[in-house]
Amino acid sequence: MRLIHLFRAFLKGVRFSSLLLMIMMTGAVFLGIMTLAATNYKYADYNMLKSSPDDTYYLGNLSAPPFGIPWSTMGESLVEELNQLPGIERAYTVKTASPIMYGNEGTVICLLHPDILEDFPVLKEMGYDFDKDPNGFVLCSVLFDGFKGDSVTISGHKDKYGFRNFDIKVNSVVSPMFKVITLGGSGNARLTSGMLLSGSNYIIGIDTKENEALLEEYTSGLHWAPNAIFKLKKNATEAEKEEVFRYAETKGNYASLAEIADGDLKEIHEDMRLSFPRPLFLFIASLAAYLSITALVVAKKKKELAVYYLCGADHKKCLTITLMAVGLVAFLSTVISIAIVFVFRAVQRADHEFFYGYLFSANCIWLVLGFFVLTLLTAFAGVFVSIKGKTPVQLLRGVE
Amino acid sequence: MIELKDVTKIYKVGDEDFRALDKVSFKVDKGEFISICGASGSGKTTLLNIIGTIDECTEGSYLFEGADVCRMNDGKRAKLRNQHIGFVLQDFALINNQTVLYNVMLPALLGKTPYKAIKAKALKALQSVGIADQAQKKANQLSGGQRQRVAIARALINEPGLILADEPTGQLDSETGKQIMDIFKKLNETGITVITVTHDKAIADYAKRLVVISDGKIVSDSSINKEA
Ligand SMILES: Nc1ncnc2c1ncn2[C@@H]1O[C@H](COP(=O)(O)OP(=O)(O)OP(=O)(O)O)[C@@H](O)[C@H]1O
Ligand SMILES: [Mg+2]
Repeated sequence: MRLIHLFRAFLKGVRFSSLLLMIMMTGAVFLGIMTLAATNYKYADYNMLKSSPDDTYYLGNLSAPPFGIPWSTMGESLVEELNQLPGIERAYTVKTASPIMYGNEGTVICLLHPDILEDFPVLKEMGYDFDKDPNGFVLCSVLFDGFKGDSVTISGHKDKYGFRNFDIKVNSVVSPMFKVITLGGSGNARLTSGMLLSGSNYIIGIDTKENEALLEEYTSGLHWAPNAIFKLKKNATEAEKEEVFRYAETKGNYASLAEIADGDLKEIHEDMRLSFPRPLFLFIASLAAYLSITALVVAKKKKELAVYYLCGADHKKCLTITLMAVGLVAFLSTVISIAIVFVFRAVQRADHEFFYGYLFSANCIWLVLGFFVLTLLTAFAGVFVSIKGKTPVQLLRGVE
Repeated sequence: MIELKDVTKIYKVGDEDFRALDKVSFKVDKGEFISICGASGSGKTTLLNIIGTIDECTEGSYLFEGADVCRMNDGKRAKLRNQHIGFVLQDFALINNQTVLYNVMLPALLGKTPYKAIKAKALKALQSVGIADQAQKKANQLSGGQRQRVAIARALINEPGLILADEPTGQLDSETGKQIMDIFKKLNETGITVITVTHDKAIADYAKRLVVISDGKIVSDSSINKEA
């Protein structure tokens, strides 16, 4: 209590420069957080790809109408044709059904090929779990935030019948922070996020006969997403592989997921090279500013500290007050920065399109804390260096 | 109350040693009023600073009410200074951009008194030097005489037994100087020990005992005959 009073009085006269410094530091940390969060996102994307099996290929950029190919006209020919090639172990793509309405909001139902879930374990980690009921659905939308219950009523559009209500079973509700697998990316997806569409309103199910029949009954909008993933057999011969690639070439562009992942990693590195210097510069600039303001505070307050000493403060107490004064700036800017991370994260949870392309993970907090420690060390070093020299006695004698 | 024995203070100036105090032995009893006189550079401030525990002697011993100050660490000396010694300096040593009240409260804020009691004590101390009405002004808005009263109030807030005043009237005109010395005289009458340093004979005469110091040595130590 008494120390707080001493400390508050001590801040007088250096409050404005401290405030300015705090804004500068918070700005630097903010830019750092955003840059890191953007890299995080790409890195999460990369890790998703990395977790996919070897010899898996993405086939995209198919010549298709912008919203996919009607199920009725396309049938399962692409998957069937791919699966018939002797070099292929499995091939899959995703069906989407729309328009579907929940309340007054439009949403999309995607039917995933069950093998996708096996080959992309990350999907299960994201909460796509169909163990309970393969014909149940995962509600993957902010529309359903806080939804509880075993089934939900939605409505589908069926040509001349208009919208008709029907119930689907619910397995779970997941918060769709980032991606929803649909393989619906229009064309040449470079990042996984391209093939895993992002959007606010998705209902995910497995491509079972029952689900298909149900949707077919209530909606005529069942479309292919015009991209596919196929996996080569482990023991495929070179000739068999050749055949697969030749077929793929006639359908669009293809690339191995491993290659795409490597490309992603290169892109991340390139991105870091381009985007990190700016926050780094700001960090260094604010550190320099911190040092000089610390020196200024000490210079300005030396005489005052000598008076404290005269009145019965020991060296330790004088030092404590000074360190508190310069540390406060770093402390407040850290608190603000951490609050920013949490607020942004909450905003993203509530509306995940708001910070699309950013991922505020724990390393954002570590960045802030790391910066805090670094600035504090700098500031304290600054205090020790600039407080050295004149003793309180000399200062009281008027030695400047 | 105070006992200095063979206190020597050596400053290093370049490679040379400079003896600012040379084997000073000096005893002060409770309730005394002492003036230390001497030419400029004779070591008066140095002596006062050592008595006030803000400076340390190079050799010799210093007992404050029986306690060996030389053996104390920085924290202990600070506590002693805070609780038992009040300082009044020539240039006031106030924090200029703070209120008078805060300046007076400062030593108490550094001590153990609960915050609520501190303000009342500070106002009382300001009252005793006659400037309670200036409490909310900034220290640099006051006249020299008022500032020195603030400094005295600050020296008094922790009710110390000893007041050290280093040329307290040095920056004041003679009339104001006399008023300040009257305050010290009254304080001494309440039992507080006062040691002042001064050049001014008229000021020195307020004391009951005169110590003359020259080139770091005490050359005379006598009681002042008020009748003379
Ligand atoms: N930090 C220091 N380094 C070197 N010499 C010093 C230092 N402080 C004081 N001195 C010297 O010690 C001597 C005594 O100084 P002191 O301030 O005690 O004198 P004083 O009697 O108070 O003088 P004045 O009347 O001018 O205030 C002086 O010669 C001074 O130059
Ligand atoms: Mg002096």
